[in-house]
Amino acid sequence: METTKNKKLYFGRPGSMYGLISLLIMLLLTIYQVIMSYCVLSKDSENFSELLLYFSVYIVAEWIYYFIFAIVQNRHISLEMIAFALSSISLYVTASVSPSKTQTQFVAIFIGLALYIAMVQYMKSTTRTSAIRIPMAVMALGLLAFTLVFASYTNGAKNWIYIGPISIQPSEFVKLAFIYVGAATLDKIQSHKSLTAYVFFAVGCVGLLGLMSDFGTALIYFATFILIAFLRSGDVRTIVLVCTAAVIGAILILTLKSYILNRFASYRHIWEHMYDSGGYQQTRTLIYSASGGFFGVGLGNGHLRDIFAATEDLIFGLICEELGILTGFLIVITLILLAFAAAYNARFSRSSFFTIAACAAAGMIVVQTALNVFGVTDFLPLTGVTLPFVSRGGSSMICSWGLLAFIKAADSRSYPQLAKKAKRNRR
Amino acid sequence: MRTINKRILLIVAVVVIFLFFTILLAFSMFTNAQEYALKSVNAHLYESGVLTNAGEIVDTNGIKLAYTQNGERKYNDDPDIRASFLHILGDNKGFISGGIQDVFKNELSGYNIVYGVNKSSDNTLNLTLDAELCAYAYEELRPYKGCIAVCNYKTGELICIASSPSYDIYNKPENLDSDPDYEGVYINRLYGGLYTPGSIFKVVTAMAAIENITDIYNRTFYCNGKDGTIICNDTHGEISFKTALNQSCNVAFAQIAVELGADKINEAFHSAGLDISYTTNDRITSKSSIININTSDSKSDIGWTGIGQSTTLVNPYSFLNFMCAIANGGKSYEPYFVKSAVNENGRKIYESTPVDSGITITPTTASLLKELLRSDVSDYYGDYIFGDITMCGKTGTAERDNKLPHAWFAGFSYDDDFPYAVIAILEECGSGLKYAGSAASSVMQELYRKTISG
Repeated sequence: METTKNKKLYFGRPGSMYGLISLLIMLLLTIYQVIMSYCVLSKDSENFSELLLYFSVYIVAEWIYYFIFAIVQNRHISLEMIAFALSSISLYVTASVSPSKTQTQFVAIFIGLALYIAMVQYMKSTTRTSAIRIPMAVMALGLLAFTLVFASYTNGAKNWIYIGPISIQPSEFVKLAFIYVGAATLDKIQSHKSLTAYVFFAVGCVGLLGLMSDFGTALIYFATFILIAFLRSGDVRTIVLVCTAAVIGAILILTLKSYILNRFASYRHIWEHMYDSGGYQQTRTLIYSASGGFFGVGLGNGHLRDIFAATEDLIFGLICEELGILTGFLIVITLILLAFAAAYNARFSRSSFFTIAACAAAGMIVVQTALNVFGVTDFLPLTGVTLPFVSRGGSSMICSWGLLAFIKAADSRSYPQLAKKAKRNRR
Repeated sequence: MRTINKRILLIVAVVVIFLFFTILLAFSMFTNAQEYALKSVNAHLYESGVLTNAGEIVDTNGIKLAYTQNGERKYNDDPDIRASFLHILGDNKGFISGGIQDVFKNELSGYNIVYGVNKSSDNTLNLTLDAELCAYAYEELRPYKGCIAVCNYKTGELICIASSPSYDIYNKPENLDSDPDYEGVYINRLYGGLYTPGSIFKVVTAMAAIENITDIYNRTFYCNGKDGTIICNDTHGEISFKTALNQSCNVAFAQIAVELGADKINEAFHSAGLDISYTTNDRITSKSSIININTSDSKSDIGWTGIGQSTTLVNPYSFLNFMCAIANGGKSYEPYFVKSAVNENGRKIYESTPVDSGITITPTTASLLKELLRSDVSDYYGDYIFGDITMCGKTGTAERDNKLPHAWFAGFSYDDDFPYAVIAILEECGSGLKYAGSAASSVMQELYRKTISG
């Protein structure tokens, strides 16, 4: 009964406390975005009208979303507001650094949003969720295998597929399937047997990623697998066993293919590799992050933007430099809070599928954020993964919104009609 | 079904671990930010290797030596001052290492993590050097290579440093690397030079004699112009210890050296602080002087060493420090020239504190040496050379095979109210007194005039 009390607090109408706060946040967000738009537009007369259109449509779209979901449907939209805020930063940074790629980023955000709405809607039903897990698993493995065969090496990893002018990173989309398949077990939750099939699926995915030399993504998958396996079985021994096997496997691979290790040779020695590829990106990230100070040198005034992958892998440094270290850390803290919220809300979810999916998605976001932020600052080896929502990149953006859908679906407040119906039925 | 809720704690644990590392990262960035930002590849602060977002560097009289204007690093308007400060400030291509614009970049940049690189630096670095005197000394050196330095022996504050060859940073010569006139142009010879000492080394031998031969002042030596392989500059006949130093008698000093033996000379060399590589307050490292004799060496080798004509090499900075110690009663402070750095509010962000050089000469020995060096000037060179200054000192003419000798002068003012020590070395020119002595004299007299006139 305690949970219904909680719900009452959140299902406020506009005019109630929550309604006022969400309106206030929307207004603040809009002010921030108008200022950021001005910062970008004031420095780019060449693409002025095109960028102005994207920025305006973006803000209008946010308000439409707010109107439909918060006012009309009376839903709780704080997760979306966070995602809107973070995605808009990626849009402004992309527009500022490489205006020609803004369109792609803009479109990707809306595809992501559409996928998000669709996924949340789809997961409204608890019976539908387990139905498509087998085809999903086959598709995921197939897509990765296809990538391995048909992709060409880009920056040392074989993870891009080119279809005409569009380039796709299938491993980003497979992340969603990976969580879906892992979570969709329903009642066999405590059984070890059901886990076996999933272990094979996970080993397949991680193995294929390893063959693509995309070790960062492989690590994200592996960490997510551990999370899911634990959530499903609750068995610490199994987890320890799997981790031990993985470590042994990794050592074996590294001894057999020692050249892989060379890629990470500059880890914790980046200043000795200041002028070669081993430490160039990390040292520049640290130097220019420090240069930004608390408040940044201003969008467009930085130097990290001239370094390779500045808006992707190095985005944290670029934001620290141009928008300030405070903004940089605020983004990281926001992503952490997102994960906390997911774990908190997952307690009240409708079934174990939603709990596992939300926690796995949150874990994936945290692990990916850690690999990105700690990688460019030399706390961890640089693996070249993106920062969820913030890095430039269509596949990554769409996947981020997809992950958010899992978190959203676990929150019973996401489906007010269902909750009300349940309430009525109970009476 | 809600057993799963306990398992959620794992994800909470993951998040907490991540949060912990995020705090660690913030802490690490906070503590290392200045070091990171001041890397010379930072295009915000550097323009082709020179820190442009840096404060002013001023001499002891407030003359601007370097400053930033419209994002560009500028130097003093006087080309002679620019040339005489080339090594001190450092060039803009990183050829001259140890320039204070580089080693004091933290103090000059005024970087802090709150403002990042956004704030232009209003910090000021104050030097103890007198820019006009440095330029004057540089003119005295030219066209010869070498260096002149003047230091307050009570405080260790350097008031004049000049090293030649040098060039005007605004008009860098094209042929620097090929023209023999610019050989070693990137080196500040005060710190980086190593020279055969010639007769100035007799001060070290004399110190060893005072400390080890009890009746040295009652002894006489006989010089007939030659002793074995040692050739003297004159035929001095019967000569006392004091007169032998005054007239720089090679035969007498070679005999003293042989009598002392290698160990005693090495010991004196050590207590004079010559065998030390000093890393000064100014974060500059001087070369240590080199002596290379031992007890198994022949009498002739020890004799040659005693008169400064062997394989011994002396660094001007360490010898200036030795002079300071003699003048100051046996103790000295390592000569330095960066006094302080203040920020825009006038708050000191750096202040130099004099460092004991570690020289331990007994006050008695110091005072005896002081009188001996005083008599060199009063009884032999002539007080008229130094105008109104009561000077002590020793010249050196370091003979070299088939080349003109290096000229040395090392000395100090006898007068406590004008407490300055001087070192001058002019390469390949001739007699110590004629070249180095007169150069040192005119720099000291110029300083004296400036001090008297206030």
